[in-house]
Amino acid sequence: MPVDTDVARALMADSLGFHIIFALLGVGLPLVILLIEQLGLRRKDPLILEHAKRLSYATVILVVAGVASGTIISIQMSLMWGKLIEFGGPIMGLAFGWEGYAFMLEAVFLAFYVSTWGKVKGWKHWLLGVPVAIGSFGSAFAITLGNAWMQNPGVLNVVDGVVQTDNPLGALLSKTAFFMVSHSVAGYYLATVLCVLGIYAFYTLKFKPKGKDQRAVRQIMFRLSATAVFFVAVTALLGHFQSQYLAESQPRKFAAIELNEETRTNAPYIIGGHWKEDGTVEGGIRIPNMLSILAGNNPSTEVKGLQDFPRQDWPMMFVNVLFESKLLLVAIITLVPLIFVGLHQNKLPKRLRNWRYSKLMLIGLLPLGLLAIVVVELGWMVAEFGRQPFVVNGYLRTTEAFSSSSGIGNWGYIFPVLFIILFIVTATALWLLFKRKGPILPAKDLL
Amino acid sequence: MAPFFIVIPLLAYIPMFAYETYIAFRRIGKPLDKGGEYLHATWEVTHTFLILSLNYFVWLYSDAVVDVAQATFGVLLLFGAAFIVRAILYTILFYIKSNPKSNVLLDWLFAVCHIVMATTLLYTVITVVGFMANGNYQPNHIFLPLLWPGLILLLPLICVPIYFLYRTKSK
Repeated sequence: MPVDTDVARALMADSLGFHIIFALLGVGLPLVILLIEQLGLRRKDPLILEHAKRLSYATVILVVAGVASGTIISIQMSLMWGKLIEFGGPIMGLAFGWEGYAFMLEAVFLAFYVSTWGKVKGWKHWLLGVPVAIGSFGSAFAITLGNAWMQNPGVLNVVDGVVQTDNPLGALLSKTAFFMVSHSVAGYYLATVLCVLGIYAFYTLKFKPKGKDQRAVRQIMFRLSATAVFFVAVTALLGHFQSQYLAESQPRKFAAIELNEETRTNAPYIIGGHWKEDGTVEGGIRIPNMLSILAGNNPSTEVKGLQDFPRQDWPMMFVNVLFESKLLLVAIITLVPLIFVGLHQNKLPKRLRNWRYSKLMLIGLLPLGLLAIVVVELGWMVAEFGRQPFVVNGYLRTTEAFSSSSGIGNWGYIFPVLFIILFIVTATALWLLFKRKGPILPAKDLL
Repeated sequence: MAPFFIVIPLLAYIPMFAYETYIAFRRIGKPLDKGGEYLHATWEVTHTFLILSLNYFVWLYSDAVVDVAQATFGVLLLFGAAFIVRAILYTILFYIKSNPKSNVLLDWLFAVCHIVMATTLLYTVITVVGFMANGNYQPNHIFLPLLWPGLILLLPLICVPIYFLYRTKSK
């Protein structure tokens, strides 16, 4: 593979890796803010509304970073992957066109929503937040549609290196798109809810809220943790069905992820093994029949193996390590909120219920958001590395999609450096938003 | 009608960004005005128009992208770098800096980023217009019927908040 292509891939991966952090929080925060504002309005509690207000300012800070990193990705796509754009333009263009609308809706209404705190009050203000949540969901929906088409484009008619279609909508709205959109967006919501839950755990540890503030914080934390449990269940369920469909629609990627060497029935599920150069699996604990059961609910289900595919079409072989790391983190971020919500049960003895806001529980909640962001990153890495060496699965190789603009190797390195600075600055601004303003006080003008 | 999708957002972007550039220079050396004029004039809404225009050019004229990219490579990367530096400075100036006294160096850097962005963008637009005028590029008409309804719905929907945002600023 030419060096420039490797540099371009590294740059794109780097930019997307940073953008996903800002983007997933941008998708999730509007929903979280609506949930908190709704709680405040229902309980007529200005303290809870003030919490929602402060979080909305955090969203604005994230949008600043998201707009910049998103624009850079558009530019890098155009400069480095022009042949992908040319190839898939007639179909992917529709997804990206919609994304533009959705993003504009989100950005304009977010500015309106934030600047009208105290000017527009009550449910009217809450309603102004609805288009923000719709727009942010729409952005994720549209972008993921485009990516899903790249993962599983179906049967294509390619003329002179360009896809021909008379139904771009039909090409985008596939079963793969349904699973990818629903699973990833549910994951973004979960990650955001856990991030905010972590912030409140920190707030409780640092400011030790008392009286009304304590009540407001605990109500918010319970609502967030219940929402997290809901999204854990939804994400897990969708993830399972998505994997089953992956075995059918993208068997090459499925085989690489699940360490399946050869096509067989009664395929074992291997935990902890790894691929060797020759396409065999070394090490790991083998659970007999389990992969066949996972793939088709039956031990006699035939699962395609990696060795059935030409060697030059094998994906990056470390995807299974990424996938297993993801599953491990998923177990952690599932367990802690479940325990937290479980401790709210009235039937439990008071002694146990008191553990809810113990120092240990709060410390346990602190890192969940960060871990969930890592899970999202790992999920996308599995999807993207698992699709290699193709950029449009089965049709266009990554090397063919690269439009060899000279100088990317010399110029490109500036972007990772700038992204790191942008990340540090954004994280500092978010940190200061909570640190500088201190404990939250009720705002009289919000109701 | 494909150019409509590219030109209209760009026409909206030019005066808004020109105004941002003007106030970026006007605020140099003045005390920090948190939540003040510059912030209210943008909220980063302005740049969504540019993204929309760029997005539509890339996907509607996908057969031109490879040629245009080669001609605008360095300039667009410079634009991108200036855009990120501006975002970094924006966050520092309006969300991190606590000392209300002005920092002339940061103010100047922030303002200069606008000039770099405007210059590189102007060069890109002129280059693209040249390519489009001389080349035989065909837009992807196939999905245009599916973009129109969204635009018709979106325009009146965003006009109201944009009007109120800018009215807030003028007060």
